[in-house]
Amino acid sequence: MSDLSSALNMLLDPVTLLSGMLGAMIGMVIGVIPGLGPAIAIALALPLTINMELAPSIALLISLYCTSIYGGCVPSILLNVPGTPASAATALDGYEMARKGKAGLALTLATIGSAAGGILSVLVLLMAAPALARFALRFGPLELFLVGAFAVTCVVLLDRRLYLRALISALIGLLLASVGQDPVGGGMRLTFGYFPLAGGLQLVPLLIGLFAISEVILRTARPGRTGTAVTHRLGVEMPERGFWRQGIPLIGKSAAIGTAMGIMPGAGPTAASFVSYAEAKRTTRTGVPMGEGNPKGVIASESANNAVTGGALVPALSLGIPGDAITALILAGLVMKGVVPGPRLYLDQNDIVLLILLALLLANIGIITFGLIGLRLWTSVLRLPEPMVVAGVVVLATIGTFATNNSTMDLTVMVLAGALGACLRLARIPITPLIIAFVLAPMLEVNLRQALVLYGLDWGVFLRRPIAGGLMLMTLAVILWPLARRLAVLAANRR
Amino acid sequence: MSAGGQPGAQGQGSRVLTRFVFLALAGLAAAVLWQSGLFRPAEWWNDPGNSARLVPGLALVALATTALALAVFGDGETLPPVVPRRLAAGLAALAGLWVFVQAFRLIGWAPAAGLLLLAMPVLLGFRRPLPLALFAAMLIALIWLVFVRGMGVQLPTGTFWR
Repeated sequence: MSDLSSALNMLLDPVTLLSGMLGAMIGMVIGVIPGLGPAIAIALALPLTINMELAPSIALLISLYCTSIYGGCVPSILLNVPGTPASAATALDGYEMARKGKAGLALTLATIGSAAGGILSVLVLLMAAPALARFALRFGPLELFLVGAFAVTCVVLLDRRLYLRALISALIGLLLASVGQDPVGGGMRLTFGYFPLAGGLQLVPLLIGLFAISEVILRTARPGRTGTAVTHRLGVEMPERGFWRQGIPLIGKSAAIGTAMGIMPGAGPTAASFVSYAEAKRTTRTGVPMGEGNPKGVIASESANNAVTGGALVPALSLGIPGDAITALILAGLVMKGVVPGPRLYLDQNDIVLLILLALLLANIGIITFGLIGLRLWTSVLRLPEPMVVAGVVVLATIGTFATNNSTMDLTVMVLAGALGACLRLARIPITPLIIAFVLAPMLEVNLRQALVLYGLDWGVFLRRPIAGGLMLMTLAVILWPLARRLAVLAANRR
Repeated sequence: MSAGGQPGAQGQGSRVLTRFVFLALAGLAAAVLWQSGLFRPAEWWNDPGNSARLVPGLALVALATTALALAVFGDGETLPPVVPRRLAAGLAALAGLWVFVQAFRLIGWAPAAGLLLLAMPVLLGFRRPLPLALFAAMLIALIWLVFVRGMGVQLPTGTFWR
């Protein structure tokens, strides 16, 4: 109790509150700008925290983390340009909603979903963090590989009719991620002797190219097709009351997926939003088809990507193992302030753990506040004539891509990824599996190879390691369940 | 666009084009597999854990096989028919982007962005100079404020002016 009151005292200090508020606003702006995101926001804020007290630093970093992930949903919905990779899945239905004049509703749902997902993940952490951390600790390379493989399988089977094309997309993603140094031995692959490729392809230029630049190319090739149909002023728009009967359980499920995937090292908010979207698509059988402007797609993606923030901090705080680059930066910030993450943190500095959790809660309240207040600000983007928007997107995408690594090579990758994205979209090859395979590829490869070194080709390992066996069964069930159902229907029809 | 929704000859043409595209993709994957030296089945089998060629090699084999399967058997979906004017516009957009990226490096971010913000809307049919100039100036000022001033990003100032 004294730890909680100590944490509350630190959080309610005016400087800490101001720092959290500024972090929330700046994070939102950075998230909204395509090409930027939480990693850049936190990396740029780290030098600022050197001269700050511990509590304001934590409030700043955590607010930036949560709100910059949320902010990415705004350009996803209004322009079909994900502000951050984590909001790419939001564009699938959010942008279609905007084109149908429901941008306000999409943004309201994204805001509520993000905040609710984030708050639920904090509550889960508050109650179950030690147990969850202990469970994730039991995962070896085989289990981690199987978790990644499960995620890729779910995404490839999103659309059963086009699964071969989705498989092609995932394989291209794996290949693009393999360019450059081998993550285990450091040898070069698929560089064809071209040295600038040695560092591999970065996610931001690839993502901006696949989404934004391909959109620009296709819009130029199809004049007259407007991407932003909404012209009235945006405001908070709530769905019909009946929507929440399915919406609330969906938020809960998506938050659970996001929290769980946040705990798994390597999975991160991008994978979580796509897996959650895939699950929502799998279970949605009524209303507007997913991908054509279904509000559930927005809720599923946004609840999951923000729920990752809480989940990702479980292994980071309790084990000192960052699950992704963003939590690694937050850990670096904590270490700079003399806080050493690890199992002892819960015993020696429990008030700091509680302060971090409370800062997460505050950041999610900030999402609701600034997100809903700021809704009207985004209207001006929609009022611009499309040719100006298209030109603006090209300039913002280029500046954002360059700003990530100060690299002109990234700009070349962005343009080529744009051409690839346009070709894939014309060939009706979905882009989502490519992105998720690209994100998960290093984790998949490293863990697969470690598992092969440890167990070889011994299939008995699935019996000796029940978690691995369970994950394998889950993956097989996802693949075989619809087939089994179809066979059952055929058999019933014959009778 | 499904084949069913297209008139007979056009649908047939789209089906042939679709098969050709996937056949070309299969050929490309096979060529990369051959050229990159990733195809080492013996290494994959004998020491899979230490083979850097395992994952990309298998991915290329799977890509070639899947694309070939789509080329041969199809899946009921076809490419949209080729419209030369649209194809030319798409290629022109791609070329324009390429030129912009080169200009970004050579003449600096602000002149390159200004040129693109003024030229691209005009080429796309928006011909109102005042709103265009205002929009270009405001966006460039905003980028300078956020990226250069606020975040300290060193945007290219152009190699021509040095």
